[in-house]
Amino acid sequence: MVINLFVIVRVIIGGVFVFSGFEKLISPYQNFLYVVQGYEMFPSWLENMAAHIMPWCEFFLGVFLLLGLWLRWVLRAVFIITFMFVLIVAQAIIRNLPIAECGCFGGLISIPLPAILSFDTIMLFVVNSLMGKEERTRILSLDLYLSN
Amino acid sequence: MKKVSRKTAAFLIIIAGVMAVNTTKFVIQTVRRNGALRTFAKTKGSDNAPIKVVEFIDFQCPACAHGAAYLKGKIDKYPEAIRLEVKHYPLQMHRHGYQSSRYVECAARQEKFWPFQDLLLARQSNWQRLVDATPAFEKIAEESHLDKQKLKACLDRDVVDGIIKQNKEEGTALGLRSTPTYFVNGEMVVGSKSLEEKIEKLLKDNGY
Repeated sequence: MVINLFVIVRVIIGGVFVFSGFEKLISPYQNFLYVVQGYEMFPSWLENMAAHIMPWCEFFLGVFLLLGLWLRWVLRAVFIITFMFVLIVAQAIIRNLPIAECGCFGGLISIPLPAILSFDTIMLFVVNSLMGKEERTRILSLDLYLSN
Repeated sequence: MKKVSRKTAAFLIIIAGVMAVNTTKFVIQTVRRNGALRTFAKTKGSDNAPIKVVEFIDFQCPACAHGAAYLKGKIDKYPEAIRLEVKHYPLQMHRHGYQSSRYVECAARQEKFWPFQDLLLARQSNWQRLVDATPAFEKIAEESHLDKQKLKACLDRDVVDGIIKQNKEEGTALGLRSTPTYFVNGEMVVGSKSLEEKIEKLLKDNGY
């Protein structure tokens, strides 16, 4: 049996998004709001909105990616969201903001900004490859078993 | 047999996901509430104040110093409007966080909590860089007119560690992750930016 690397990577990235979103969702949202405020990029109302909405987006994009549902659109959404993370972290590094760790995985894992920038950049390329080989990524996905 | 559509599957997954998250959140909050402890507190302001703030602080955290200075200014201006309680939440990432909490707790036992805390936070940028901050804390103790013998006896006792541990356990039980975290009239507020927005709003709502 040939192992399909695209499916494995799809499941891993889906898992990372589920884990990241779930951890934030089960904690008080104010903890994530504090993380968002640390990047000093948005007005207060947008910071509040992001702290409420972003963990749900991460969680469901992760679930859909894991299961392979609406894969074409979910891959594009994951690409956009990861690109946003890269921009946000990069501007924090350039501006030398006093952020000790990225806050990407809540309180469970502590990752400094340069490390998460590398991780997100690699993920961006990987998601781009998944989009390029969509048919192979689609193997073992719900999209193949469900009607439109 | 008719296939389930992708739209229906997506809808069902979203419902299941929301239920799973909310159930987990509810269970965690219930366990945390049951685990919350009553601890000694250091307070300032009127008991009848309409704005009650509980502050969990790490004395080596720069944002905590900023938040404390803001609160001090507001309480000095509106002493009847705001009541503040301070609790320890030293973080492992700050090497003098725990030791400074021990000194603060001992200062509180000599009823010198506020002068000691104010000096400690005002000079935070000086002592936080030191490898051994003990001489800096001793100097602040002296300037806050603490009794040296009592301070030494207090620092030698385990009871101070017990109080800091209790405060930290209480904070963790309430979902704290970073400092400064405040509970303003029971609502969690993290960071000085959110605190300032909340206090300004409440002061305005209460006619100040």
